[in-house]
Amino acid sequence: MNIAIVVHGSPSSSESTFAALRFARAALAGGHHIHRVFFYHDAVHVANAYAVAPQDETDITRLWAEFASANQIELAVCVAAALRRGVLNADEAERYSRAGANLLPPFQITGLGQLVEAAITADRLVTFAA
Amino acid sequence: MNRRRILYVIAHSPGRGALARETLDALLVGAVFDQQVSVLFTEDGIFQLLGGEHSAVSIARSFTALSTYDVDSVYVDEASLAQRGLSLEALPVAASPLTRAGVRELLAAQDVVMND
Repeated sequence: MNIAIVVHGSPSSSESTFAALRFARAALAGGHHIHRVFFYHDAVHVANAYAVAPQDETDITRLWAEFASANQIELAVCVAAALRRGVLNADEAERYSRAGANLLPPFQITGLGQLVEAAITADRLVTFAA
Repeated sequence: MNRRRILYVIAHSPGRGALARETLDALLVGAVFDQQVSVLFTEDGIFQLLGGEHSAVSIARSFTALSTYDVDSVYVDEASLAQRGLSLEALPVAASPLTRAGVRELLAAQDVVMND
């Protein structure tokens, strides 16, 4: 089955980025395909390369990046939600004259159209709300 | 490609900073993709229709303009309305009231459900 995953919750105040990653791993292990993971609302914070996890805590940003790289999964971050929360790639940092970019690859900035495209294309859309 | 039935469920109060605005943005983008888009207001999400001064951006005004976008149907959970002492007449939009059984039928009829 072709599954799209939507994540809403902040990594610092919600379980949703963690639960979504466990679900994504289980989906792949079950032989399913992941169409895209779309990070919206406060979940865009998970793409922030400047976040530093305490040594005894899970670095959820790194885990998502490693999971996506190893399995060629698209990690889509909504541009409007990301700009509002200070998560910028190099293009956006230049466009808005900000001092640096902090979007960690392979997270990539996309638009809401990619959320709708996933809803239209995937067999299932699974949301991890805040 | 078949048009999909996509339902946006608005269940949270408008007093959550940017979140309500962002949900509305997602809904409006969904509506321009030529799908069968509908919206259900339930629980505290009903307050998003009423406006007031509790949020920086009035999204209530945008919701009253839903009919000008390509949104096919607007539903309200009538039990949620009654629990909050509100009536259909108090809402600034033309919305179809649904019983809890009606809500279940609506959900079951969708291809995709988007939560706020």
